[in-house]
Amino acid sequence: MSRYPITWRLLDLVEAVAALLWPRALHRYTGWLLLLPAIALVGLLVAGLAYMGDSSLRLLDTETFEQSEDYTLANYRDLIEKPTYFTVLMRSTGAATLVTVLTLVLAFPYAYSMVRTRSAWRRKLLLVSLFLPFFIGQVVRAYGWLVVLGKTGIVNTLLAHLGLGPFKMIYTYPSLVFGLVQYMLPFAVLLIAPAITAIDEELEAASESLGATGWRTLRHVILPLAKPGLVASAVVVFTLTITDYAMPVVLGGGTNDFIANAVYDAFFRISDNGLGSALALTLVVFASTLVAVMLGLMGAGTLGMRPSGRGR
Amino acid sequence: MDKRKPFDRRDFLLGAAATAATLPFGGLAFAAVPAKPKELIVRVWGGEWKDAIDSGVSKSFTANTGIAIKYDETEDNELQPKLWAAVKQKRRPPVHVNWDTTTNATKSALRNMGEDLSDLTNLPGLLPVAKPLGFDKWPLVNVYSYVYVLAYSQEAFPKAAPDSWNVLLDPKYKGRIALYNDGIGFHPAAQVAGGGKVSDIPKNMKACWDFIAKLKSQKPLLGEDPDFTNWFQKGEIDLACTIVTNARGAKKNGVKVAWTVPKEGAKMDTDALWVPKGMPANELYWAKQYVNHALSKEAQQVWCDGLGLPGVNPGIKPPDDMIGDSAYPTKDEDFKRLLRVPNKVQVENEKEWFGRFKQIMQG
Amino acid sequence: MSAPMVKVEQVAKRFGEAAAVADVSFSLERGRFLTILGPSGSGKTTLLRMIAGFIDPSAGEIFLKGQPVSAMPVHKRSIGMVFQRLALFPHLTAWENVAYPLKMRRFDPREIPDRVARFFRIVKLDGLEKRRIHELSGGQQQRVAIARALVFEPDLVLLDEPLAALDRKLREEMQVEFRRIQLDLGVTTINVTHDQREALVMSDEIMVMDHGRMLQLAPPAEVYRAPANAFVAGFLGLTNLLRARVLQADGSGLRLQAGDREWHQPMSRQLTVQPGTWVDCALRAERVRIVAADAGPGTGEKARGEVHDVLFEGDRVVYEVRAPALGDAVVRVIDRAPERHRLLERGRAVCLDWDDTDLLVFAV
Repeated sequence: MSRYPITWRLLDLVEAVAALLWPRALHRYTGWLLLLPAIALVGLLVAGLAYMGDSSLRLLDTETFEQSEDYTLANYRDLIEKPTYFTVLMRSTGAATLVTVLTLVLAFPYAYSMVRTRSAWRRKLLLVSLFLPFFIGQVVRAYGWLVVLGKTGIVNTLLAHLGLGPFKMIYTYPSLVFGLVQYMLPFAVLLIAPAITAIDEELEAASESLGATGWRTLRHVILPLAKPGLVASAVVVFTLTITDYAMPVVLGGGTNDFIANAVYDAFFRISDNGLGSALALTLVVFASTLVAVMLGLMGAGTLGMRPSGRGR
Repeated sequence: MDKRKPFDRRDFLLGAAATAATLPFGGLAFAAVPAKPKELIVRVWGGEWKDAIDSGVSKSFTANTGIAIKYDETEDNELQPKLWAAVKQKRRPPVHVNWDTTTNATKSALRNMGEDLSDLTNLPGLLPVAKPLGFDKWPLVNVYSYVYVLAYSQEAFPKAAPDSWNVLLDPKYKGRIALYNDGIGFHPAAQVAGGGKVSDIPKNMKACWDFIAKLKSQKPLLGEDPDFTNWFQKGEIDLACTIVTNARGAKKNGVKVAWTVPKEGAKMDTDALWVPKGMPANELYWAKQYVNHALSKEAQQVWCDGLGLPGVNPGIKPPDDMIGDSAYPTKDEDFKRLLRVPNKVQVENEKEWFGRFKQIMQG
Repeated sequence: MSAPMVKVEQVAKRFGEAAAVADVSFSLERGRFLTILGPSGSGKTTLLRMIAGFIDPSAGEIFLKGQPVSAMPVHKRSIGMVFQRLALFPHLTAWENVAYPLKMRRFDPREIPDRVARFFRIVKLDGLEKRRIHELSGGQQQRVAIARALVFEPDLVLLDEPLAALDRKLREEMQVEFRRIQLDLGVTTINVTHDQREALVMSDEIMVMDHGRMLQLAPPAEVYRAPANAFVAGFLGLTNLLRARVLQADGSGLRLQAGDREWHQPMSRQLTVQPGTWVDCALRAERVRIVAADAGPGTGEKARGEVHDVLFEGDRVVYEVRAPALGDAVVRVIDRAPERHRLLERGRAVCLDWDDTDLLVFAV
């Protein structure tokens, strides 16, 4: 005996309620309705940016700790004249570039073997080792590295048994880059994996049978076809890194600040909303420009926004 | 219970009874006592700091009044803009009492954010350092002083304490020294160690900046209060300029750390309590009572013992381990060795000094 | 005497316990077209992929031009392959796809444009060089794939059912087209398919496989007319398989009993069966004659039955006849000239007849 399933009944009920709340006549606006939350969110963001824009044009009066009534470009002049900000901005950009390159180099083979492996348990192992650190927050993970790599940490303790060290492995720029790469790896793998899944394995077989070695197949077939995933993960990793705050705080030892740390300092340490806003907006414009250039160079089609053939 | 509702007869009677019970500790000026809130929220620093105010001030306050104390551990710098925004928009502020650095409390006072505390009954009889400089009234009250000492690992200095801040420049300790990440607490010491005079601050601070620039090549770690305790414990540093409380915390945890006030002297500063504007009258009343209680001899004795810092109530006894310690000034000659910069100067120059410090350290 | 182009010697492939290919041996001379025919799961694709080098044999050796190739990686073998899903590179143009093997095999760059152009002409795609793959029709994509597999003039071309996805008309066109190109270029080819028509039309030789075993290797006409066993007979063409019992077997032939009928069967080839055993009798549907039972005495009858179903296909009619006399077997009959006969309706009693020589007998 087949009965009308309870889930169908529930769906009918939901549809009936939806029909009451959103009558048929309004159906051609349904698209807009679904867009509403996104529009509201973006609207809030724009409002926030406008507010910061206004604030960035006002100077802090240190006698009253109020912002000036008049508009001035003094905060922006500060950014240009004080070399600290240029240094910090360049450090963020340099680190973001380095972290992006290293992360992609490590993430690609990881994603590739995860997708292509024939062994189910190996795929599970790779997935679990990818997700386990994913569920541990960035700050906790950074502190974990302090425990592992510190002067009295696990690695130095082991080295001491071999009569080596102790080595200074934390509170340095390399340790900061290391921590960031480790943090970004899951994001990159998760963005690259679908792109590799979308590449028909027969293309690789075909390339080989046409005379290409593994390396040439990688260069001429796999990498070009995985480009959407590579570009997406490059954009995500670059943006997350250039705006990172926690890693420099925890692993940077206080002398490797990124631009977000400078923004924090301006807002919360010297209570200068104007300077903080100017810095934050500069970061937004700078990072967006870099990402736009990146996407421009890679071609607009790289995010899969073009018709694809043969339903692949 | 709706905290805004006008007093009714029952509340009044309860309040009166409570007043009778608390008269010996409070000494209130009113005959009738406003309704008690269920709880008050106090912003505190975590760790050692919270434990100290809890056992010293809050426990006895709750015992006396029945009002529970809840803590908000938001960083002082992060709470500040929220407080400012709340007061400006006439909303209820997020905390009833803010435990703050005197520098930050002064910033808020300059913006007229704090309630006047002039009528607290415990104010007369406090040390002069309790009174904020540059204000007619009491928009904040200083509660104890503290010294930015030179803390050191006894393993690195087994025989004698380093006698000068110049030890920070010794290549032997490269990468093993630490400062606050905003340079706070170090400027006057650096000024003197670099051959300048404290009285030249803020006009001429070349000596200070030159000294800090030299320090940069020593690859210092820069952090905040809990970092120093942690770094000493994990063997990451040998020397640090930090508030004595943090070094004392590491020592209590069994780490071989000691501290000294070098021959050049060390910066002394104060922390404060203040009550933000914008709360209902009865809560304001009890928030002020909390501050008043914090200034009492009994509360100061336990609170400041916990911190290892000299309170502003002159009657309290130093904790056993701080007797005769140069970082726990009690006598005039102790105070003479300490370096002070008026809070107003600090507030007005903070941005500039912070910028200079960052420029050197991030370069 | 030069070595054959392909020689497969006792090749087997096991996946765990299961044998995908078991002990296959054959050789193929230069320029010949071999089709490996079998149902899905017969091991034909596994065998093809072993020759291509994508799968290592568990046992046996494969020789190309007399050289063993087990240890030779795929890209070093001179083999062009047309894949089931074509495997054209979607990020390249048609021209770049065809030029790809030339570039990978380091052909002289000056020679590449001419050669690519020649093969575009051969597959009749000239003018479409600049198109991207998704801008081409299914048939055009087939042609690109074929050109790409042939352009470097490999010793051997492998076709892994590339035509299966096409509609029938296009598929039949491409079969003829590819055969023409193959003959023109004289390229040795191995094709894999489950389509018997494709096998019959295109090949010089057909190899029938089932359950990993090679059942028969012979020219198309021979495979069709003289199948090696009942499976082969059943797989090619529309064939009736009837179970019969051997009553008597001697030099003159067999006496068989199917249902309540007895047939005499002259011996057409070597077959050793004992009286009392069962045999399979294969009978091509087009070899059966069908007449209405009331049409008067005919030339003879092997069985009677009743029309159970009629499938009118235009150029032919397929009858399904239920024959109670043959143990209630259903006999399918093809009438190839329906325009000359009256259509027999469902339910009509009919007589079935066939020539003795058309009944193929196999031991069970």
